[in-house]
Amino acid sequence: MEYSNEIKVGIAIVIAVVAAVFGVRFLQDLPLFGDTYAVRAEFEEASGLTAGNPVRMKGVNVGSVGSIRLDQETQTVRARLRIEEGISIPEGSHAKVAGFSGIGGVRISILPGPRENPPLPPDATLSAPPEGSVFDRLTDQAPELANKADSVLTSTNATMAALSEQLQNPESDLRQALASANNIAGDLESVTEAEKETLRALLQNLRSVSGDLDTFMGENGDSLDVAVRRLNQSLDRLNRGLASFEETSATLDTVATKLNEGDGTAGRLLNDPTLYLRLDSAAARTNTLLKDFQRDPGHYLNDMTLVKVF
Amino acid sequence: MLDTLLSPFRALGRYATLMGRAFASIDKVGTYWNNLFIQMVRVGIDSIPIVALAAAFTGAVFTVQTAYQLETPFIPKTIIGSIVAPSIMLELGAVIAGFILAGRVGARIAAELGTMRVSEQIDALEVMGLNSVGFLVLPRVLAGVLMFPVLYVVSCVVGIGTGIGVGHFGGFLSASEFLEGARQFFKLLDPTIGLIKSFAFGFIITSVACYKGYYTGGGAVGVGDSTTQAAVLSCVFILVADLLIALLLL
Amino acid sequence: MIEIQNLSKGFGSLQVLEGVSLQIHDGETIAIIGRSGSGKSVLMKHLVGLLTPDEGRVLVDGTDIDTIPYEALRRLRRQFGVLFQGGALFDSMTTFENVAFPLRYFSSLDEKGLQDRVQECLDLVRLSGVGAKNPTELSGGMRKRVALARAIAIEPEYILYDEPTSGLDPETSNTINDLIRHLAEALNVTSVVVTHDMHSVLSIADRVAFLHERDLEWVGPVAGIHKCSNPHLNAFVKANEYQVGDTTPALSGPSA
Repeated sequence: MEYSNEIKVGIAIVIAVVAAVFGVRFLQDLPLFGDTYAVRAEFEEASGLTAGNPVRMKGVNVGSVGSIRLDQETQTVRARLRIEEGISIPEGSHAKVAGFSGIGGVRISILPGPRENPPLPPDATLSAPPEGSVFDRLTDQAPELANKADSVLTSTNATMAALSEQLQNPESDLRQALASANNIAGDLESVTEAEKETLRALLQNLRSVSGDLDTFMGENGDSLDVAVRRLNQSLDRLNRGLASFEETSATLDTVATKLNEGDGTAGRLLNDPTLYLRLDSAAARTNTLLKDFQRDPGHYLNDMTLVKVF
Repeated sequence: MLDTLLSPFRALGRYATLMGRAFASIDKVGTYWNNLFIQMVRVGIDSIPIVALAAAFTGAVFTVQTAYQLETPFIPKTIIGSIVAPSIMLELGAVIAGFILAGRVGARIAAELGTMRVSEQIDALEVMGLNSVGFLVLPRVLAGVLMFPVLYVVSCVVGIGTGIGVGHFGGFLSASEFLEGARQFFKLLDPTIGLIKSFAFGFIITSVACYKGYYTGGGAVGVGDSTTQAAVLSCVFILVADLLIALLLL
Repeated sequence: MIEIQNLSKGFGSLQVLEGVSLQIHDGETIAIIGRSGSGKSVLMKHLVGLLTPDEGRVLVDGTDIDTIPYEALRRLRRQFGVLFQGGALFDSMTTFENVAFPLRYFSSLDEKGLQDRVQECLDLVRLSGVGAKNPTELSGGMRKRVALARAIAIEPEYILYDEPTSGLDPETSNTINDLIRHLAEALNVTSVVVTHDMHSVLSIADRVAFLHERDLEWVGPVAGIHKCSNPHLNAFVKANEYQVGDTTPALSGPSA
């Protein structure tokens, strides 16, 4: 065994290197096997955080702090986190420093964003959870809400104007116009009926938000975030409500236009569930009708009922 | 009188020259390849059991005593792990292994080279046309520098392992508490410095022993003197180097 | 040819050699004699650069060995075989490995050729069957013969003997003396023998250099050793005769 010494030494060195690497990774809270990916985080205040401190998401260790430094320009603390491969952090998540350095328990706590959000790519930056009260965030959203409401009202106005114009027009078929108006009113009603559910849900959400707010006032901690997230969701739904409201007013607009053009099938169009799909073809037909009308108005007026059938 | 004052400088000069000669022949280390591995086995592999034994007792005693000293309800038990693990990695792992090896390896090298010197084996090597420093000193010093980190890892793993075991089965703190504490305060700098120390100690022990052995004079008594001085001087220089590294790197 | 010019050497406050000059001719066997502690071994160690003179020079074939670089000195040393007083065998190796050692480093022999050469050298010193033994298992005389085999393994031009017969019984001494003569003739090497054994000197040397009080007091052919008028040398020779008694051979010169 001429090489037995070399073999012994080789084995000893390999074992030592493996033991050292695994030991260090073990003590660094890194997974013994498998890789990590980097995520950045920014804070206003590090509170004694140092490299090697654990990173937790919902209280579970998911990685460790790689390095930490103070950005002199922006006076913010920038940290590099090593997150275990396979742990995905949803977009919209925030990171904050938790624990007390006095007894050495400083760590980074990740507040995950909505579950359905796509995961953060490597090297993305986690910001600190937003500061300030929930009301500040509400006021942030307020102008947008007001705008939406405005546009709905404008649409409604336009519809009303169109309606009254139609009613005042002596050339129009008043009965049909009234029938259409009736239909529109019914439609509006049904819209409101449909939206009632949304509005109720909205109100309920708002109620739960205020409940959350109560909790928030009573306690500190993660409940704030939960509240804000719920409120976000509520606002989203409110948005959706307003959007359908807008849709409705757009429909009203179309109806008004049709009525203006003297199109008798307005009522039918209103009741048609595939209103939008047919809109184009309706416009095309209106064109044809207009041409016919110009060519032989008398015949057209007499055949109004036939048109209604078609 | 002047001679007495100057003798430490003379010794330092001779030591530095010897090391210079040793590392000047590092390009021919291939010639002494077998020698290198023989020394690596003697210095490194053969020392693993005694280093592991010393580390085991150090880790055990250290854990028990730290637990005893921190016996107040205000301090969480995890702190025991936070104290024991970094201390072993930063200091005890390297120093305990260093002291053991100063006795075991240092004395052995000094006695070996000393005997070779007084029995003219070193002269025999020289007149054969071999570089005795390259042949005898370089493989031993290299073996020390290369294998001591291995012993350091053994020392740390065994020391912390026994600390965990004794803490757990002795009822002081559970293994997971120990580990939580150890992880809480873990800094990569600790084992890095420990590793740097182990390189330094490996060099100190083997080079001082080689120096003492290579320049032995005066027969059996001379060999005895060299052996003793090699062990004592290595320990002293280990302590000095330990302090220097701590001052420079912490 | 080795030339020692005006060599002086001291250790600390002790002056050992002072202004020593000597020429060693190719092919001769020269004995350097003197009392214990007279500096014979010190002088010999200067010949291969193991010691550096405080003053003076040592020239080997015209090369000053104390000024050439270490690598050149190492190459030059390969022309020398040295038999140290205690043999200086490496006790970490077997006898075979000891003899093979210089060959492994300084010859291009393969394992087979190496074994043949080692056997050849061991035969020359009339030893066989000890190859596997450790030097510590051998007797003093055997150790010296193994050391001699090692010294001649790479075919040196010069062989230096440091007290080759000291500590040996007269019979073994004679064997060693025979060997030295035999090697000188068989290999045509230049031999330098440092000894205080007059019996050995008379049986092997061509010339004698007598070292006394830090200098060579008398240098001449071995035949002239009893005709000289140097009182110190006469006293030295006389003391040796008493010591070895009847075993001393006729003082007319080396016996065959």
